[in-house]
Order: sequence, then C-alpha cells, then structure tokens
Amino acid sequence: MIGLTHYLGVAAALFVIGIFGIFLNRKNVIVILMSIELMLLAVNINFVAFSTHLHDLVGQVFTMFVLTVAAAEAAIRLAILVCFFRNRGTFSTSKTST
Amino acid sequence: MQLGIAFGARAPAENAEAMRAAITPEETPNTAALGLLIYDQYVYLFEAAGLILLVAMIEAIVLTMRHRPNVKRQDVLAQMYRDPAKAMELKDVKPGQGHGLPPRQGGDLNGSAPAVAG
Repeated sequence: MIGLTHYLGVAAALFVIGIFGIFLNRKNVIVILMSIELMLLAVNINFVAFSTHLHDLVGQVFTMFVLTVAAAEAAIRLAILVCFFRNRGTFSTSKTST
Repeated sequence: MQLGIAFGARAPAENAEAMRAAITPEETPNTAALGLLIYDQYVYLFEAAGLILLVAMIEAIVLTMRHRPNVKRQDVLAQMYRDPAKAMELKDVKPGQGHGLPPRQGGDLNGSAPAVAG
C-alpha cells in the first residue's frame, strides 16, 4: 500500500537531486535553472501528498498558486537569460572575465 | 533529537479534523472542489496570481525587445499632421510627355514627398 511516507520520500529525493544539480553544475546556467525547477516540483509534491493525507484541500490550492508563481518566474528567468546571452555571447560563467 | 523528530511516530491531534482549513468534500470531483475554493474563498489570492503573471509578461517583453532599424513602422503623429494642402498637387500632363518629376525614392512612406495626381 503506497502510504504518505512514499510520497514524502520521492519529494525529498527530488529536492536533493535538485540541490546537487546546482552544486555540481556551476558552469552550465541552464542546468542550474532546471534544478531550481526540480526543487519547486519537489515542494509541490509534498504539498499535494499532505493535502491528500489530511483530507484538506488547501494544500492543493496552494500548490496551484506555487505553480503560477513558478511559471512567472520561468518567464522572467528566460528573459534574463536572453539578455545575459546578448551581452556576453556565451553561456559560460567562468570567473576569469576580461 | 532531530532524528527522533524525523523518524519518530506521529499521531494527529485530537481536534485535527476541526482545524482543517478546507475539508475535502466527498461527492464533488476534485476539479470542482478546487474551483469552489479558489474562486470563492481565496479569490484575492487568485487575483494576485493573475497580477504576478501580468507583471512577468510585461517584464519578459521589456527585457527582450529590440528595435530593429530597418523595420517599417507607422508613425501615427506624422500621418495625422500631414498637411492636406501640400499632400497633393495637380499637374496637367500632355499625352506623350512625361510629367517631368524626378523618380520617387523609396523609404519615407509617411508623407513628406507630395503625391501627384493628374
């Protein structure tokens, strides 16, 4: 029987994968942004799991708002990335810059 | 102690059912129940989420828009302030002869060169 702890474990694993994605991929900006999205998704899974377990719909409502904010943030992030690329010509974020 | 909190047994509080913010209804489908909550009880949050999306849209356009120099656009003020007396002139052209004007250059479509009728 799939209980609450299974969902929480999956969410925790996703969150940790997202965090390690940021740690290990400092050079690649797009992978960092994808890892941030992964962390948001892990938090959403947590919300929905608790909402189902406690028979409380507020968790799912809050998940919807978190998804909305994540979508807005994705749009802003991609626009910033476009400006970043226009100014530099490359995506690399190395520390040696002229 | 934190490991005890993480792995220890948990039991819900006695009045946990009464403390629910929005109890899941049994008969209505999930989408309908979510709609009943979002548009009725949390409508201010819904409007705020719409505002956030609007701001994100404006921001995305502002950051990525570039004016290209050779794109033809309408200049509404130039079109409106064009003088109708100077916009056209009548010339009497005899058959077989040209109208004697220099060839028209392309580019400014918005009314500095007078059109010729006749």
